[in-house]
Amino acid sequence: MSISFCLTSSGSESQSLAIRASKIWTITDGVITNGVIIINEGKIQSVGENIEIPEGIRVLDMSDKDVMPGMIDAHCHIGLSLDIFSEMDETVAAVAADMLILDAFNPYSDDVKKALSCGVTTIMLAPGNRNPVGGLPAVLKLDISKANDWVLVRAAGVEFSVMNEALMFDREPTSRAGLMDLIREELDKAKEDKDDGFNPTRDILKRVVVANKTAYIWARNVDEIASAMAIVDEYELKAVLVTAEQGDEIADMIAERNLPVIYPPLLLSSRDKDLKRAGKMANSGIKIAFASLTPRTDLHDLRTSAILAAKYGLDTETALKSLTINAAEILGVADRLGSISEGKDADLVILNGDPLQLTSSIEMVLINGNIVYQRQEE
Amino acid sequence: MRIHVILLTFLLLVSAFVAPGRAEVTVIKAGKILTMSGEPITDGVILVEDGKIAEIGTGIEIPEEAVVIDAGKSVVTPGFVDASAPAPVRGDLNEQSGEITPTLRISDALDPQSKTLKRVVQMGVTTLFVSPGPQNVIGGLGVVVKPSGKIPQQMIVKDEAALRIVMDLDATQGNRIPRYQSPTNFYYRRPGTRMAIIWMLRKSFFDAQRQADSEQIEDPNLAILSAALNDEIPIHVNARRAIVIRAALKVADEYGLKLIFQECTEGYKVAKQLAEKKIPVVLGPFYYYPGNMGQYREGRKVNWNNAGILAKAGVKVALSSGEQSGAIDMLTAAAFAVRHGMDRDEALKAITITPAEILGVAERVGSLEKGKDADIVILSGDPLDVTTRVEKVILNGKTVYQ
Amino acid sequence: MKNIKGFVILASLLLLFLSVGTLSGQEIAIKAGTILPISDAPIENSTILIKDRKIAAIGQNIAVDADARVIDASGKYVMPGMIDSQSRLFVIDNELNERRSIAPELNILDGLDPYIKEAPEVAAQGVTAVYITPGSRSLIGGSGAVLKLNGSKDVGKMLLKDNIAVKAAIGVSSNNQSSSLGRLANYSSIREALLETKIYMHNKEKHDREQAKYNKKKAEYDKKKEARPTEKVEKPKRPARFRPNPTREVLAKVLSKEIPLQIEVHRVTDILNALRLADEFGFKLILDKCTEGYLIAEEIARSKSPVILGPVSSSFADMPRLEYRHHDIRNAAILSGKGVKLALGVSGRDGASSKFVALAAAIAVANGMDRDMALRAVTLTPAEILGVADRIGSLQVGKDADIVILSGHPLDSLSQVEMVLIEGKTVFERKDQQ
Repeated sequence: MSISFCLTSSGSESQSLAIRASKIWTITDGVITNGVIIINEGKIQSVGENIEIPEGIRVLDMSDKDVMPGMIDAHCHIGLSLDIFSEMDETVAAVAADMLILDAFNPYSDDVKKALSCGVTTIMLAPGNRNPVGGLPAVLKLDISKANDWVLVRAAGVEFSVMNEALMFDREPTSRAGLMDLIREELDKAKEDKDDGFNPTRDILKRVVVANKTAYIWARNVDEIASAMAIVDEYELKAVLVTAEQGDEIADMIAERNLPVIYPPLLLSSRDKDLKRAGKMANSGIKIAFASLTPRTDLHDLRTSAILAAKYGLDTETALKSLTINAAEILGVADRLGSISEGKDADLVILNGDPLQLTSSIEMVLINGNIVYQRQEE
Repeated sequence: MRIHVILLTFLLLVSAFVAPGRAEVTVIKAGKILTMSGEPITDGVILVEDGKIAEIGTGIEIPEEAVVIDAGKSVVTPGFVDASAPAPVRGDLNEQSGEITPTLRISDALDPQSKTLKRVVQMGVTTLFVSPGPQNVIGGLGVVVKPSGKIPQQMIVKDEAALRIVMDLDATQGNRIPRYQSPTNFYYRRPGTRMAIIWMLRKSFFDAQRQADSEQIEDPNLAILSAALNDEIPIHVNARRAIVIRAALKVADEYGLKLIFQECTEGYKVAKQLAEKKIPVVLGPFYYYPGNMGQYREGRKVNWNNAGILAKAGVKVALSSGEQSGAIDMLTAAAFAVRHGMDRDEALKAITITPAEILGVAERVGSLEKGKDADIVILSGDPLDVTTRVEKVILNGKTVYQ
Repeated sequence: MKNIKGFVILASLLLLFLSVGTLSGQEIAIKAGTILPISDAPIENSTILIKDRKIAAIGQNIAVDADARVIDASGKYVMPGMIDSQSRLFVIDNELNERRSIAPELNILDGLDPYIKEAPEVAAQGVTAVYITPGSRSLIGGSGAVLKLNGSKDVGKMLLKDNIAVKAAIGVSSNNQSSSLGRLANYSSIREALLETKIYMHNKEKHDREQAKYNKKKAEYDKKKEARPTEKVEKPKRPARFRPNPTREVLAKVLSKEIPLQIEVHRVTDILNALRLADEFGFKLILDKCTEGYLIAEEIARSKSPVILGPVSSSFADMPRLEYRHHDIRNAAILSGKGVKLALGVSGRDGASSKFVALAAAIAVANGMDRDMALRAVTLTPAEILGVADRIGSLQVGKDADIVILSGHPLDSLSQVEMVLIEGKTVFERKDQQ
């Protein structure tokens, strides 16, 4: 009774494929009932209700199943070494701006297989929250069978943290005031136009303060979010809040600044008060994408989060967006991912029921038109 | 089922009589109003509009739509100003990575959800001066805040309100050669003694002066110290023992610094000098709880006559909670001071307008005058009576505790 | 302002009069869209009649009192209150783990905190009863109890039944460290305790017989003495004193099959050990947690021992302990598929997780469990296993009126609980949000 994985051989990408499904959740164009998706060379060629299937192409008959775009985990730490909690954070130095998280990633780890079985096809691999100025996150597709193209973005911005987790007793900063001072100091230095030789930190931070690359800022409580907003305001940063769990309490301020939020997983052990927060934030106009923050939690929890949020006030359409297109837009890959639309990558998840039902299980997952996971029947 | 219906009924009946506090104009009637800016007003009225005091006195016309708080025979005072308050901050207060950290702003660490704020409000404190931690020689910039607002920025009354210098041995905390650790541990550094503290202070100001003279601002830390040298930022010095106070005065003379002393437990020994130099003093707690004293016990035996002696010598004295949360009550501090020699009116001013003046926020808080913030405390009786209770606290015109 | 005051006073007085009219004997009639009795197939468009805290009738043409309270649940689903058979609600961290190894006589009710704030949240999700057992740190730690979430702050008033089963644990590491020596010692300690109990029972029985004989002889002696006081008669000898041992008394009840022994087991070896113990001593066994049960499903089915399984997935609680290393989300489906009588418990670290018992069932369905069995696993099956099925677990005439009204099917993740009744009393009613 095992789960089998089909890593397809090369050459199959050029194969065309047609999928018939009971319900196609396009995300951006509503739900298509009894529709067809035509895939060609790894991309979605067409999707609709009455589409003629060309002669001779392979047909996947999923006419009693639901299809949705592959889910995007907006922030996780999978595939790092076995001693999972140490690889996420470069804790020796407070400023680790030039650490490329991709360097620590093992594409052949079991985590990747697990992710696929949970319907996650793209992730933002990120450092943790223990460095005030952290490393460089990456956006990856989990179809590791090909030698190319699975790294969508090698360094997608810079990670910052204003959480108390970034404080340590034996390394600076040890206090919140010190933390903010440090971040400001580094950003000020990056703004300067000095040329005093090799300084990777400054070059990288220049991307954020000058070249408008995204700053991903970890902040959970209201005071932390306020600190993050202060930095965003002072340095006119393009930013995304990571965690922002208490963001609903100051939702209007976050919405005002057009800050999207990467939201941590809602768990079956969460209290009612916390389960309502995501819905409240979305209703205030904040764009939310769910993250599993694995290994702190499980990859299953990504879809479970959306379901719980929907149960507690988030409307179902937005809940599905938060697993797909919202993350794609925040991560800057919406031209290729996040919805079932013509021209986008054929990254699809096939379920035996409504995606927002815990009773639905994932039957098959495709990336670039290739079957990368298939559930074994007993 | 029955119980619920009866309860609901009761609540409804009660709600019919309780006035909702949503109107913009509030009127407070009280038996005795201690304004701290003149004679007390008997049977007076305070008219509050949009969070500020619009009118105060007797014979004031009460508008129709005003919400009336009738405090009966109670005594009304301005909200108390704690010029050395416990810090509503999450996480560690002290930045251990260095001893001279003037650019650190404690306002960055404020936590509006801190339980400390609830506690101090219950004691009638409406304005707090929060300093960086006491473990650095020059700890950074303090901030004057009010216990209101959702985010730290909304709490701030005056940011970068003062530079904190700590001269007692507290500043040496953590700086030792750890016995079983390598010498490269970042706790292995000066100062370990009082000499080193004073040396570091001198060096910092010396460097600051040099940088200022050369007109090149290289180091933002020194820039802050320059501002302090030019009296642009007030300097608060924590000093308990008389020898430390004297040392501070010496450094101040050398660099032309204008100081304000905090704690100043043995201030009475140098009362004359302090008066001559017109140095204001914010006294610490009137009692250090043994559990709260930490490693450094010098100077923590309080002489209760301190406040009285300093005041009589002509020193501007404010009374504070000394960063001790929970137990020390502003009113009790004032009562103790009076019991041991301080003048009644001066003591009450010492927890209201005097600290406001010392902190430079007196145009907004500290006394009940037209145009100032409506921060008001209603007491059940004489403020210096130990059986008096805080009945109601109004902050920016809104009732925040009752 | 004055007008509003007047109106409010009037309304309040009116309510006061109304409240007087409410009698506890009032009938309640729920007009339901779909009734899920659990013990039977679903019933459409029928009424449930509640009288004196019990279900009095279910059907389409039922006579209802004129002044009955009518609850309109048309278009909604009505089911029995759900049961979390592995709850940590009301438990204060370490207060249910007595470090003494064998302490079955401890009363769990003494260790609960009814003031915990999570309880209303749990009831609001349709969970009306929870089964709480002592922790797994003692080998034999006391017995479990079923409480109803009726909102009372008095544990006694929440209690449905205690002494449900004596709780034991084999091979459970309390500090994330496991030594096989420890497990062996566990197993043999329990075996020893049971053997000693057998001896105790034997001694007790012997003493009882001797006592009976003595009583008879004493009666004869007294009679003789009364008739002829001066005559010398041999006074019968008292049997040796027998000191009752509370620990042994409880275990005696286990051996005599009065109370089941519930053993928490995770690994295959431990499950097999538990089955062996049950064979040897003949007690009624309940397998608790049964993490690796899926590997020996047929054997468990053959033993006919019921299983209380949990957590169904790692999403419920972090499962850092070594015992959960081979946890499989299909465990419930596999065991149930082989015919094992299975209850699904939440087993979350946080008491509040009890509220998502229905979602646990949904996750089990997603991983292969039959829908009806899954729903039964959080209602009637736990009631049967815990010996409270005469009162709760299904909608049948004569059972307690513990009823949940939902906007959709309970296995529908987005269903909202509209109303919860316990013994006819409303403990939760959903107020419209937005």
